[in-house]
Amino acid sequence: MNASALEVSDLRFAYPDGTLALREVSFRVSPGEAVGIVGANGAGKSTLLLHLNGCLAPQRGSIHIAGEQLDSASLKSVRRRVGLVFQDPDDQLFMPSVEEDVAFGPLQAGLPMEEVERRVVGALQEVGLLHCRTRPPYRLSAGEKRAAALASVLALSPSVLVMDEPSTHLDPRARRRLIELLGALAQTRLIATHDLELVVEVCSRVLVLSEGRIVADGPTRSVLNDEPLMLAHGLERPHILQHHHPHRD
Amino acid sequence: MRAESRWLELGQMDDAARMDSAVHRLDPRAKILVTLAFLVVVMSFSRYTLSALTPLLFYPLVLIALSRVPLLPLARKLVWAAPFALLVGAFNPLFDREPMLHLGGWTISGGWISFANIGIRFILTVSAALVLIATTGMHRLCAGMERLAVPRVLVAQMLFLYRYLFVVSGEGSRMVRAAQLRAGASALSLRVYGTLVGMLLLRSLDRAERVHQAMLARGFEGSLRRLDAHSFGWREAAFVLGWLSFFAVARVWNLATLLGSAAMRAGG
Repeated sequence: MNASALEVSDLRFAYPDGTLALREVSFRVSPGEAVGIVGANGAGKSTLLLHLNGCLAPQRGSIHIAGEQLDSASLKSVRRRVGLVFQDPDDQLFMPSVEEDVAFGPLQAGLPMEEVERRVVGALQEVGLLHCRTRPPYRLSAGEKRAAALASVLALSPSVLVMDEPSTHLDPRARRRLIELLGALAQTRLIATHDLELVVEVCSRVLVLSEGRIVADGPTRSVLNDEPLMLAHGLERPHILQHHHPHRD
Repeated sequence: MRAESRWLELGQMDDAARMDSAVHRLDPRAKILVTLAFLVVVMSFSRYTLSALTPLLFYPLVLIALSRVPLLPLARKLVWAAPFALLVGAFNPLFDREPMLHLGGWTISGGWISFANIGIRFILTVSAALVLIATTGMHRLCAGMERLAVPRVLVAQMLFLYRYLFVVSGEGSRMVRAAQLRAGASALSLRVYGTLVGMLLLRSLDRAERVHQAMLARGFEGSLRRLDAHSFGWREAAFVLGWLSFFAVARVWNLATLLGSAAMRAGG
């Protein structure tokens, strides 16, 4: 039980207008694991992610991060450990320059200036964006914005990274770089996306959400290869699994 | 297209602010204080003053020269703002016809003089504000205001306003373009514009919600902590004292006529 980096049990959430977004969602993630969360539009992916660092509070059920229950008392420490990368980097990059944005979390945590500087440089280096340090976010390309948003979360050195649609609006090369970056990270990763090929390349395990429920949870290849399951839930079998790749496996 | 290119020019101000010079390196507080004092002095002159105001042009011009920020973008912004000043003064020549000045065969009424006075004051105040922004940058300006005890909420509002100007204006222009493409040849009605503005407001509210969540997710607890730490040293003190004494001298004596008569005496 304590071995899991993240445990969600019997989570249920309904929006004020009555839409039931999540019902009886339960799963566990081991430390260092990369898990894809896939599902049709409106399946509840974003709602689930917003629960994982307390942006939304569960109406029923519970969330444990490394054994610690997420509630109002643990909210602060949980937010430091669970990094949430938003779907639209413009929502995440709210400070006037890239470095100030990356420094935002560490400064809020009250770290000393030298440590903040070390974190900023480290995070920007990790995503390959050190040369954009002083640029304002609106001058960045979509790929750079995505990388900056990721750096701003990495600077807090979270143990769990939660990402909402990390590959949207990226050109093939920027997407390829992102996939390599995500694959190389040591953190526990939860990636909600429609980009099934990315899931195949980065995640060893995948959860399929449909109408607020988890309808499949297992090794990426076997779940995504299940054509009837995919089609039943608004998805399809990714191409990468349909054709044998000469250089893989 | 025109609106978009304007925002790009707003980016030019950011570029100017990222340059490096003695003026740029000054603590933003010093520049804010001097700019405020300058505005007060300019506004304190009577509405018929002309020549005594002109020496004050020295202040923005010296700062531009010292900081080497490009003059042209500043001048262009001055021109954009000019219609407001013209509108304020436009009726003065009509209502105030009392003759005040005789120049050769011409009689100039008080209305025209106060009109020119508004023009000069406009150039002085707006160029001083532009120079402040161009040599400081919006974010350092906000940091300076915060340390001058401007309420944090206000400062944060200004920062976000500036940051999201680009995002919201981009969203707005995309919406207008989408509407125009479907409107065909006919112009968009006021009703459509109303709907678009309403939509833009709703979208901005949604975005504000998401930005707030993103801030909370990274540990936001109510105050923005900033990276750059300036300090108020002897340079800043000299800058503030020097300019304040110049403003005081220019306020008390009419430097233009003094200079003129000194030149006459030297020449005659």
